[in-house]
Amino acid sequence: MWTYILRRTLLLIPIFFIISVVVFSLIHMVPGDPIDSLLRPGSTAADKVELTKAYGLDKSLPVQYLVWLKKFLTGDMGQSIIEKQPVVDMVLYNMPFTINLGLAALVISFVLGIFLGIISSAFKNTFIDHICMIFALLGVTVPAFWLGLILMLIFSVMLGWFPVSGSGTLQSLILPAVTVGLGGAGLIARITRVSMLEMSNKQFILLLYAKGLSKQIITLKHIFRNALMPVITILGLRLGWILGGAVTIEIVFSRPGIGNMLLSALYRRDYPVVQASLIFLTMAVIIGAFIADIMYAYADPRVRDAYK
Amino acid sequence: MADNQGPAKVDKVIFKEILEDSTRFLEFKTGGVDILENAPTVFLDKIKEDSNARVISMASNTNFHMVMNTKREFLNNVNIRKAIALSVDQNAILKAVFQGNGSPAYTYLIDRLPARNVDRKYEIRFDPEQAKAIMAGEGWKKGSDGILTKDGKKLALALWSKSDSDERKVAVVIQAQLAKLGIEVKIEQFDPSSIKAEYKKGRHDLVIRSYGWDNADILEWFFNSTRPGYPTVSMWHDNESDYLMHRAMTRAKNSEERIQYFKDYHEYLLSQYLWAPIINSVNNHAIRNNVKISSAPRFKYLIGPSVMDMTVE
Repeated sequence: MWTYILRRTLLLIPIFFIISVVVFSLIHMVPGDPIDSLLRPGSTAADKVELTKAYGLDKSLPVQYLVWLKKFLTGDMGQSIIEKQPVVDMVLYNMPFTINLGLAALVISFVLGIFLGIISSAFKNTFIDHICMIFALLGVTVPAFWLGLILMLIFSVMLGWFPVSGSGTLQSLILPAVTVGLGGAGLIARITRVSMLEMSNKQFILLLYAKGLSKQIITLKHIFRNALMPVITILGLRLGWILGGAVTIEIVFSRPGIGNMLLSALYRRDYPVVQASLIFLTMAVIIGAFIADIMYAYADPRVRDAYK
Repeated sequence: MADNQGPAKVDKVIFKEILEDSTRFLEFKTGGVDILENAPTVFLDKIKEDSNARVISMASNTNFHMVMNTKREFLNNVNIRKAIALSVDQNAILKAVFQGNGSPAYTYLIDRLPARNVDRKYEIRFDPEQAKAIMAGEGWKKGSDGILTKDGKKLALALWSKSDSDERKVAVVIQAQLAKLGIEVKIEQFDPSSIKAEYKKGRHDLVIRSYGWDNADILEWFFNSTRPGYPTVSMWHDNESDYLMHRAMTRAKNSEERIQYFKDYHEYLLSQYLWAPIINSVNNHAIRNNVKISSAPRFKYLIGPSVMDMTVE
């Protein structure tokens, strides 16, 4: 098991380098100059040259990348061109809000999705099954932006149960987390249902019935445990999806976060902030997949035995 | 700036930055905020219906206009630029896009600047009949498809705007207004940062833009010929203009002279029809009735009520 974990961990290093090059190249290919956002009426051509030089943007792209990489590896993510503060401070301030939202949404996706999937498979082809699957389909297809505004209208404006916007309290986290989580719950419910039904047709399940075990124990202890494998994989990948979806939800609910910071920086071509945000989000996806791999190996001895 | 010269009457002021207009409106509606600066135009009617709130309108520093690229085919002709400028119905745009919030702009400066007060003959006002007469005088005739044609060429232009909601809406209205003159207009949208890079390539024809500035030196920023592309989006290059600009910026000995020099510069720019002025917008501040303001808003210096004059019940 430890060999497996070590191999997967070492693989993260070249992945990080490839991601950093791709992200760096992409953001510099997009038209737009951040220095134009800094110039004010009265600025001269000399001012523009001076600012360009001050931010190191006069150097060639490979040199800019190497300078950025050297600083990044020592924990210095550079200075925001527009906000004029260290990017690492901005990331450290915004990251907890995004992680809170992401984790809360992931828990909602997991709990609700698995619950719906189990119920749906246990009452296969009944009214309950159809309701669960319609709910799941809505979760996957309804745009998060629209859903967020509707939930805000009902629960914040009409009922007054939650604040419209903001952060820092559990109350202000619930609506955004539910908005993001419902989309994931739909997908997990469908995968859980399919997986449960597939497992319930296996011969070893028939044996368990023959042994006299109750349906509840067979479903929850045997079928569910084996059906969980594809769900674990999806959960790891969902982390990236959730963090990406958090961008629009942070705007709708006016929450600080990496997504909000990224969108604002993109509009103004604030390269250091865009770079740091994209790398954070991308690495979150990769680490999510990494954790999913580890959990999969832990749950399934056949996977970890392959590395012995 | 405020009537109250003593200590403030409120203990704390919290600023909340909310990007999404719907969220801003709902936050105000539920009492999450007491004051909504620059209330979204689309929700103003709903705010005015609220018996617990009121709207204060104050002149802003923002001017909307349409820039014409003087280096492009057709637009390098001052008469065609004049006809296009005269085809823009400022009042119709004010009503359709801004719900009447603001005032029509007839010059390149906001209303409260002294250099804005040019001779009336330089003001650019909607006059479709004169626009048609100018185009006819230039030899343009409408074809069977309603598009002006001359020597086998159709008068077709690209109209750029940022993907922001107000500028995009203005572009749609102007497209329809220029179609009445007989100009075929195709709208292209860009995000705010990319569009500046595109200006420098010089392939734009017409552009909907806005600025927020309360000094006449904004004319130097937008018409200085040493900065073609951006910020001189009109690509304007003219010796007389440069002379008037330098005089206004550097040679005035006192404020009266400065105003006169900028007025002269402004009048010259207006006579060249480099922009079609559209509107001067207002700042609409939505305020809950529990916030009392003791003084009338000072239009000359401020764009919002002073916090020093506020109390909260």
